[in-house]
Amino acid sequence: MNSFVFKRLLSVVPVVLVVLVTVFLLLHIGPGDPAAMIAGENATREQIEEIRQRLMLDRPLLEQLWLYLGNVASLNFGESVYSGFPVMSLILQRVEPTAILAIYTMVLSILISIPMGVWAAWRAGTTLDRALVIASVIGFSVPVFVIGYALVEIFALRLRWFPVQGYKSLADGFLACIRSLTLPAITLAFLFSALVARIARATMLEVLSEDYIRTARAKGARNRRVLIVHALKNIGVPVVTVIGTSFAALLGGVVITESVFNIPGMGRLTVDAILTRDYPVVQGVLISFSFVLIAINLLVDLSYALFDPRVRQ
Amino acid sequence: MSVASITAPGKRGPEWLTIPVCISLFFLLMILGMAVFGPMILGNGNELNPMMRLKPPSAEAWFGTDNLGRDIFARTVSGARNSVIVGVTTAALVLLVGGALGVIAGYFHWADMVLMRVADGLMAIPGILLAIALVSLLGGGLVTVIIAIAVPEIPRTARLLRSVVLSIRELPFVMASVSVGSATHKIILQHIVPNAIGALMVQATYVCAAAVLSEAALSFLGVGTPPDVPSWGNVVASGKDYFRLAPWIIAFPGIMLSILVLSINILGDQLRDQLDPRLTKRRP
Amino acid sequence: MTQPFLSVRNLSVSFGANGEAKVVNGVSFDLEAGKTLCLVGESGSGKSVTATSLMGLHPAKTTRITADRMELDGIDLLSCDEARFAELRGTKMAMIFQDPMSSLNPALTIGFQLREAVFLHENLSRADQDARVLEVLQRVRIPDPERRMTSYPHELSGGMRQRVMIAMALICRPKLLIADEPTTALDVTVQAQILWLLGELQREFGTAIIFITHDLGVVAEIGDDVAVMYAGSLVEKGSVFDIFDRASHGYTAGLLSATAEFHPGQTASKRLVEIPGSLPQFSNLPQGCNFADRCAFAAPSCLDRTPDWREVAPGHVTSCDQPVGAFDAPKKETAR
Repeated sequence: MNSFVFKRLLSVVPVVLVVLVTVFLLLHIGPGDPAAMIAGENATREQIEEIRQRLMLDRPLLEQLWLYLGNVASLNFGESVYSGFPVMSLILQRVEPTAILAIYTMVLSILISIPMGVWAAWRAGTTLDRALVIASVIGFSVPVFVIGYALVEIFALRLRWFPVQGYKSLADGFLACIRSLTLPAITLAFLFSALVARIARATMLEVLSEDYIRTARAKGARNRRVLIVHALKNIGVPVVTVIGTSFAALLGGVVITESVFNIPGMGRLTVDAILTRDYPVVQGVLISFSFVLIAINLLVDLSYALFDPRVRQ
Repeated sequence: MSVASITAPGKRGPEWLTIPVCISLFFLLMILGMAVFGPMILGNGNELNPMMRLKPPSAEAWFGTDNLGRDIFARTVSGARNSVIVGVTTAALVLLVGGALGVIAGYFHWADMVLMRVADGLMAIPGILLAIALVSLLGGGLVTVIIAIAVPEIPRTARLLRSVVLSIRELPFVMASVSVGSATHKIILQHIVPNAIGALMVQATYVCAAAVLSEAALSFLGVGTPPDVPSWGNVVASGKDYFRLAPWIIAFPGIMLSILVLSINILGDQLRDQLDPRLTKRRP
Repeated sequence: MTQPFLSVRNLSVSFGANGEAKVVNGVSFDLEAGKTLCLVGESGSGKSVTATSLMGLHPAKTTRITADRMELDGIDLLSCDEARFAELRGTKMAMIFQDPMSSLNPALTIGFQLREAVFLHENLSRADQDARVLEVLQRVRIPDPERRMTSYPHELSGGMRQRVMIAMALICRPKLLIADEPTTALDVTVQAQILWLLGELQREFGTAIIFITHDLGVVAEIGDDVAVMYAGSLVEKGSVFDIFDRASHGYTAGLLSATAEFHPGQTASKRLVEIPGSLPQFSNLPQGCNFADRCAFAAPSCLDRTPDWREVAPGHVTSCDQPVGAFDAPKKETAR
């Protein structure tokens, strides 16, 4: 058990390094001078030189990388070129709506997708099963912003159940916050639960054809018991795996959804930073999102031990 | 089962030609037609018409007009070209590069360690964000957009190919070929590539669908295809600020995007089922 | 005359929404309490489907089961619904399967899976359940049973897992045990141990066993009666002596001559004779006798006429118009 955890923790190190080097190199792969790119088109020579000095872009590449890694290790992502604020504090200001939206979407999707996938597999071949299969392909084919605007049109503009856009922070009360994020969360849940339900259904079908399911029935277990006690635990590994891998798609969707619903989260921070060429902020956000993703996938791998006793050794 | 395998009861014909597949093929042909002939017939839909601003769908402007008076119908039909080009080229690029890297990783142990660590790292960065950053750093333009969308997709394809290669390598006839001393490049070309081609084609459809979605997302966020090129993402982005007043600006290109991606995914599913009979022919 | 313990008449099973694939066709047999009936035939001959139909393990929607009679210990199995079958499974009849590797749930402990077999049918305290599990684990000779209860299936060897399967099947003392090739996936030495264990438990509990196998060596060891199946139909039925010494259907004779024998003192071993051809497709059964085109003794009429059942000796019946005499192994070698 301990060696499994240790090995898995150790395997994170190269991934983190690759992420950091990639994000660092992003600034240097472009065709032009990074300092000039950051300074923008109308910058004077002095301004460009000033940026070069400040961001230490005049040092050798390896030295820059080393300094960069050192800064990141002390959680220093530099300062925004645009506003001068530390990148870390900008991210912390924006993290709340994004985190709540992501968690809200996850909870919603898991509550919808796993029962639906399992149920569809149990009723494989029926009209309801087919309807779910169609719904799931639609769910991950329709662009997030199309779903978002459609939901706004129906539930905000016509039915007036939810606000059209904007975000109420937790400080304004939990319910107000949840209400302001419900349509965005449903939007993202379309995508996320489609991916999870598809895998849940497919693995459930596979598990239901296993010999041990026949054994359970042969000793007199009823259908519901076979499904819940014998089958459900065995779809755990593939289902948490797809939750982990789809989380990347979810984060991408968050960026778009925040733009549709005008939510001041990390996605908006990224897009605004890109449009203002505020590269330290872009790098900081990329690294933060990647670390979240790495952590989620680490948790996913460690959770295998819950479902599969063979992993525990 | 996938959507693609749904058939009407009692219907006969080739087994793969199911109702959803027929519908998907129809839409794909339609969109392909739009991509080829649309810009020739309707132009690129960039003509400004201040008299016709934010008009709802009517006899003159079938899909309505945007805030600059541009005809949404012309822009939607012509916008098909951009999506088709991005989808197909990205899929080809990802397949070529990812496929080659995957075969190398699956075949040469020394490359495997390095390539897979890099792939793990790249996959840890959310794809859309990496693409956004790449576009803004490399500068706009169609080629940049395609590269930016392809880069995050390559590791996944390489990983898939690597696992396919690893399993093919264990097949008896390949082991036999190795044991009698066939040259490595011969084994790769004769055994590995032909056997991996199915998985590659299925992956290609998914990459193509994902690329179309990514391009639309980038354009929607304002960092994708240059605004003067009609692209569905651009049209949706131009309607962003007017969606209460003029929902048609978003609706029509949005529907076309959904149809295109849905059709590609359904065909991809059918292809997968076709190549992997285990999934569909299983006894209850 | 008293009813036999298990009585099956004219059982047919077909799969598919319209019953396209008729995989079992008019099978009849009886089984006395405490006796062993061996169902013999090659893979795909319908022997497993026959057994799983008795257990009600086929999905009702896609399977059509018809029979004139299917009675177990006075219970009409034909009228049972899924809920009634669930009550009967484990208590009246139980089943063990070919592959003990995949037949145990990998995510649950041995103890849980055994305990479940008890508490599904009997209202016992947790301590009593554990006592029952321990007792049955000892009966099937699993060393260190207390520790094994907390083990997962992957921690046990194949032979041990099959012992667990047997323990699970017998924990509620069912009167009928269906063993579907329980030794095929095991090493030869382990096979012998499992067969011996089954025999011992049968004598002790008085369990009737339906033993499905394609291994005639196993049949000779444990069988009382033998029923030979071919392409979904019974072709010959009799006591183990009838079948081994006086096989009268061409298929049975073929099976026997395709089995390696070893007689002490015999120097040159007899050459193995194979049965030419392969099983016909269920959707495309030939006219006349199903086996005619592979039969070494077929007469021209065999190709046209469905053979009648004939009794060649008391209790020994065969579905063949040209019954073969005893020891009349096919003379002609397979033409190659």
